[in-house]
Amino acid sequence: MQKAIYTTVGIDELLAHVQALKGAGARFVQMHAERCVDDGSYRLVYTFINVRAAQEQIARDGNYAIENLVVEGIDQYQEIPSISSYYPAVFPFENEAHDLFGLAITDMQVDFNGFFYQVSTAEPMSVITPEVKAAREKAMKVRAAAEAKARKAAAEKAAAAGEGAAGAAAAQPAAAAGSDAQHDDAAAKAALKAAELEAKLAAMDPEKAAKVRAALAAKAARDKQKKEA
Amino acid sequence: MAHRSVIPFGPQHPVLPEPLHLDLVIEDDRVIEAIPQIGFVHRGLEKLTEKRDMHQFGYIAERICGICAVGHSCGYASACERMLDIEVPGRVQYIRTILHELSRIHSHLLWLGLLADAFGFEALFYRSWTLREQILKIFESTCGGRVILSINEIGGLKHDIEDSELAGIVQTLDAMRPDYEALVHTFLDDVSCGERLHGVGVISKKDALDLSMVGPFGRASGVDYDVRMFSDGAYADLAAFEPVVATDGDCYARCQVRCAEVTQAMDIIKELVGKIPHDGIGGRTKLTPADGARGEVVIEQPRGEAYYYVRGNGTKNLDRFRVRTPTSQNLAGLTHALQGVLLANVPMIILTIDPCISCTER
Repeated sequence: MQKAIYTTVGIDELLAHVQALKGAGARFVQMHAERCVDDGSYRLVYTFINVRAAQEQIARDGNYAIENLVVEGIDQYQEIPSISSYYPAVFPFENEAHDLFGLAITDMQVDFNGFFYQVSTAEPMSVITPEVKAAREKAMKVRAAAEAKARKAAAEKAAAAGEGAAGAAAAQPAAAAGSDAQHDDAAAKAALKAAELEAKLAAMDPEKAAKVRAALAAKAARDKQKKEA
Repeated sequence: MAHRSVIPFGPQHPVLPEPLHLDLVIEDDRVIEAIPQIGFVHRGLEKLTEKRDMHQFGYIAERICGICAVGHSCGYASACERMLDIEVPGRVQYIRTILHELSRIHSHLLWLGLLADAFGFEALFYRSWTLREQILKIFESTCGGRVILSINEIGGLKHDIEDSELAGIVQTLDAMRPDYEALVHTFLDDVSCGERLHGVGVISKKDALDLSMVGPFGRASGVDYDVRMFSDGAYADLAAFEPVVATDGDCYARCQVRCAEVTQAMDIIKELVGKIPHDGIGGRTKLTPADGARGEVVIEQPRGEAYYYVRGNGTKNLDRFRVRTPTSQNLAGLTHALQGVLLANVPMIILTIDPCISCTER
């Protein structure tokens, strides 16, 4: 069975690792770039298979590994050394990372200088759309809500488990934890509602979304005035 | 000193059904250097994961290419299943493998037809495609489509293929064998075919390894590598599997390898049909990948090793989908094979790597 190994390496260590893999007889499989939605940084994944080692491992336990070198937290204009001197077959992928993600890969053996792909939008794969961002934020809020719920359930379980004097002593902090969890839960629900609304707005026509936003802001102002009165 | 000039080859050329451009630097009629250029029809399918959820994207993954459609669909589904930590029933693995091997037969027969057409042997072209038609009919009768089968989904299959239908597939393949053997005999033993293929576009084993060449292109140069030998899924249950390897590294060897792989695929299908388990066909799964969960697989497509990678972000859409097709990997080998050859042999060499630009321009 195929298994994957991911080893995170720094940009300055990349060539040394690739050289070691080449020395060990590993085949180059692919290289690709990814963009992190949360912080906008880039990630490069280089994949290799050592066929001989894989066959030996299969004979031992039926498994074999695909080895990945992952370079995390790359800024768009940070220089990344090309591995084409070790693996010439990487040239389409390095040119692709340059043309589609705008990454600065240096010393490519075959460099198309940005003309490998004919794209109508510059660096199209690096674009993070508002819909993607909103969906991602919503997923994070959902996860936070689920975690809060799990915390609350755990606190309730702990409170119910409290017995006798020791149990009574333990019940007070557990109740406090339960109260915190309820507060967390309410906050998470409110955040989830806000994120859902934001996701809906992101998917709307921008003009319509602006009108809805203005109406919501006006309603919030009216509610506040009523409350103060 | 010989006169040096640059000849543009493609993106529209009679030998190429798809747009690939090469700048051929020639001295007299000998190629000194070849610089490939793709990207004329890049579709940005990897970016579409933002708009289509994982199940919907299965249909798009299958449409990356019309020849490798089954492989793409299997590779994508397997990568997602790995990410979601789903184990599919044995029957699903068997049926996927049988369909994948059938697609290998149809892809190689298509290629053999194109090869015959390229060196002007029209009768051989017709015979190759007549045989291929039988595979397409199998697809149509079992799945309803000749090219896009839409049978795979994440977690299993959309419908089963009955045992009687599987037996019918074996019967059809057995009936094809004598015609196929006659076809292979012509390709490999006919003098006119041999003259166009022998000693053309030679790549040594060392160069093939250095250039990370994959598929029949690499195996024709002696690279003993075929993903199926790692015994994943239904391949683990085969009595034996040995990659088909040739050593000459020329166009003839590439033809030889593909011819033998068709017979090998027929044998694999026959063996798997005889052993297929009856443990269900799985079904559609809830899409709940953990944030940052990854899944990757390599499979042996008809043209060679293909790589699929998916990364989840906690939503029903993927954060990243990556497919690396065999042709992208073989571009370096193609440029190397073209160095030093006669201009007249360029179409033949390009054809023998079996380039699939549709896959490459995903």
